[in-house]
Amino acid sequence: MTQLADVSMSSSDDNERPRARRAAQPRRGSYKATQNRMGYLFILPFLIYFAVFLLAPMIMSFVISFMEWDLRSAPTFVGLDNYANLMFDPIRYPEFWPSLGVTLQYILLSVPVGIIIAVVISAMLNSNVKGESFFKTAYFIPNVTAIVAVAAMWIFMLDPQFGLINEVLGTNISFLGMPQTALATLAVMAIWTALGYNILILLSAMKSIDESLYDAAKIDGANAVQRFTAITLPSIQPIIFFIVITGVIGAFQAFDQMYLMTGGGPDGATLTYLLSLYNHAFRYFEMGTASAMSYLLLLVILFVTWIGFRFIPQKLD
Amino acid sequence: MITRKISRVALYAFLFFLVVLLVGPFLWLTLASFKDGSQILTAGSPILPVDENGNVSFRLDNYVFAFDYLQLNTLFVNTFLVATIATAFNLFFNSLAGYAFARMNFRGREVLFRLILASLMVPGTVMLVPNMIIINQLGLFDSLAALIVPFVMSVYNIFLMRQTFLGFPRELEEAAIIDGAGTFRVFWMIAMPLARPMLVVLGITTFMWNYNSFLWPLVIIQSPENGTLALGLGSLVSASATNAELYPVMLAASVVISVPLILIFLVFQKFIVKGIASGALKG
Repeated sequence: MTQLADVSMSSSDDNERPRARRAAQPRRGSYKATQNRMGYLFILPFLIYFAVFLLAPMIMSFVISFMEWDLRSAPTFVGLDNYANLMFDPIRYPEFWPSLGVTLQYILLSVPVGIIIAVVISAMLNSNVKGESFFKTAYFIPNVTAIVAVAAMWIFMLDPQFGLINEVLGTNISFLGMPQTALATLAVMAIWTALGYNILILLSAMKSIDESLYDAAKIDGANAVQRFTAITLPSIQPIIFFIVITGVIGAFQAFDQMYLMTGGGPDGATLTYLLSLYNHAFRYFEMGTASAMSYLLLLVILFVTWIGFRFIPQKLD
Repeated sequence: MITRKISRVALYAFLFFLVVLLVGPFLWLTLASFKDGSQILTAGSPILPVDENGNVSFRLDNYVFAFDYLQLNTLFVNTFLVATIATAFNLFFNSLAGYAFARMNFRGREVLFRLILASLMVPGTVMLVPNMIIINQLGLFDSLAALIVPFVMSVYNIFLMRQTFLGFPRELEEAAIIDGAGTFRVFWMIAMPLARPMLVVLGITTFMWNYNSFLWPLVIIQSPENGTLALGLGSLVSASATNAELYPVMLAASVVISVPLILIFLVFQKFIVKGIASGALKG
């Protein structure tokens, strides 16, 4: 079910063939030599792309993270200063730890709730609902809209004077204007946007569960809730794991909504890590600081993923 | 039996309520975009756009103004050009690489494949600053090419194409090889047509991704005439966050930008729904 299992299975399967042929045809110009040449030819465009736009940037970013560089003058080597200053110099970088805190809050507010809601709704849709594909399609609409357009819509809906939300509630609350509500509002918007996507994935995972498991449970007298907790949940656990990890990684890099709707305010309440990184790179032109931040983010994401793989059971064995 | 019926009714009621919650705002916004500017900026105005006499009337003023204000014609051309070219490159080159990783036994394949998969773990953020520098060095800063070149391929899509090709029976391709077809011919004439459903999915998701992309254009594009729809609307949105006067234009522009993608989605929804589900299950 997981990609790693998939990869290793298929590779061991394929390796049988060349070994057999290698023994039979060791000459140059043989089948194997052609395969080598054609194989390299097929992946050549990708290798160039990989080198220029993935590998080189990763190395550059790493190197720049040890420099002080404003893009205009020559870079100077400063060792680990960028990392040290970010973490231990709150006067120079007052927003580093708060921005990480805001991002973690945002993740905690949006990811778990969003997934719980999606699981519940998927389970509802999985109970022989008529028009299932209509619902799936409708729920997916927010996902195919440009995030910029979604941001525009929510700004309008949230407007304290003319907005639909305040009209429905009969209030005049500036949800995005208050530090207490701004981040939570953006989290709700994130849940709203991702819901259809999560439902799509969870529902198809639920559909692939063997029907006979449910039949057996019914015979044993399990009610709907028991069947859900004993069969459905354990079966879709790998997919929940997948959504949690991708959701957390995505939320760590949340940028568009904050940039567009709050600019990180009020009082830095929505200043996420990536928005702060963007400011360092493209407003203050501190390329070294921004690169150090990007590598720290990489470490955090690797750590979170490792924790995920280590402590969340991915399979029921 | 009766409680069962009641719970069924409640279930459908809830599912429909959710449709209202998720799709309703779009309809409300679309209707509002046809209103007179002053109506939009009035609390508690009717949902349907009406004229002074209370008759329903759809006004196009906001749209005319939006097209003029944001140069939407230019932005449309730019966005479609960028997204289409990037998608075409993606489909061809990702398939080529995915096919090689699935079917061709070249030396170092497994090591390379693992390395590439590992790179999936690296967040795009790490590439942001250096990619800007590289694009600068290539002399592409503030050009449409800058929006295409860094995204002509995708590791994730190569992975999906590899999985797709692995899922096909080898017999067809082996038969063609015995008949004397070259490797590229087998790839192009046999494997690619079989992969068409997956190609549709990847094509649409890649197109949408490029169409929606915001952060990279924000970094790399300076001249308004080289902008994309997302970038143009974005400037308007961040201005509207503090200035409600811009709402009418913003609403019209949002509708204009959303409609193409929603249409594409509705036309191809069967493919997309299947593709996203299978991608996640495999990945």
